[in-house]
Amino acid sequence: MNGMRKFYVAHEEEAGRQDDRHLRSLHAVERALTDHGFPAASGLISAMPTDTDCKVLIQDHWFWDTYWYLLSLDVKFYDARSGNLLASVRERRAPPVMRRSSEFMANEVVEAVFPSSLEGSKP
Amino acid sequence: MKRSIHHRHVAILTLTFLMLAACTGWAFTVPIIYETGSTAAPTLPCPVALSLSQEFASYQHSVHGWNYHADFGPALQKYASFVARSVFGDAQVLDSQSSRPEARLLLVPRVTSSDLAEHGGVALGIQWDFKDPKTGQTLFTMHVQCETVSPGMNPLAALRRAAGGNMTNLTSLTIQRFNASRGLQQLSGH
Repeated sequence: MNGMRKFYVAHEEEAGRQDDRHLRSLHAVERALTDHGFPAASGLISAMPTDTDCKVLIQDHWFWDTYWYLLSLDVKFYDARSGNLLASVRERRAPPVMRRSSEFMANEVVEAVFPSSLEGSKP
Repeated sequence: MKRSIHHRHVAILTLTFLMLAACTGWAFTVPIIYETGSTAAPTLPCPVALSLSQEFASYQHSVHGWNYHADFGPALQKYASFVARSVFGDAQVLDSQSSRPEARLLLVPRVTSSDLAEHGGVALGIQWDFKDPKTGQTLFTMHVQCETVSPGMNPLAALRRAAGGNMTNLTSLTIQRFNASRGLQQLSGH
């Protein structure tokens, strides 16, 4: 994914994904990418800017167990022009002691796909 | 046998206590026991300034439903100051009035995520921005996050252990990342 400059994050299935929890996952991935030096925007797939380099589609599965938590986060990175799948990550955290915020899980996903970002980046 | 009964009683009592607290709206504070010790010789010596926002310096995490609450602020202040001194040596913490003209870098940490999971799981994510002290422009960023799991029958004791352990682990990981970063080596003139 060298040379990708503009990322756009959207839900893979948009129907029923406009509540606070799903928006939190969306913004968590957008923020995690930006924090790691990959400028990103987010929204509906239909609103994706034409100059996007990488389309990032997410699937988040929230579960209720006395409180809502993010059970799993699937993130796929596509070349926005060719449509080729470049990377795919699935993060799942079920045991109570292992449950983490969507922000933490999004950062793990980004660091798994871009391990070089662990060294830091220039904005 | 006696030991398992004792543990079961402790767990039941703690859970009852937590449920009562949840019903009455009383919150348990998870103490964060974190000592940094003394710093070794800095690895990338250069004068830097450290700016801690009010949000960072008084950061708190609350778990709704179970009424846990952790005051991370004092530990985060110690963490940021210790990391800056360990890596750069000459680090001055700025308050709202002060400035440091000779500083080569302005370090600004912020919390990106925090978690307190029942039964002893704690996590923290910190974004470090390295800015030009004169212009305020961000020159470099680094994200560090760390989780520590220390399960136990007593949820509060487990959280206390995990919270302290996580601050120590986060400190080691951050120093390790800073030292390994070629970008930071260049910025600090090494």
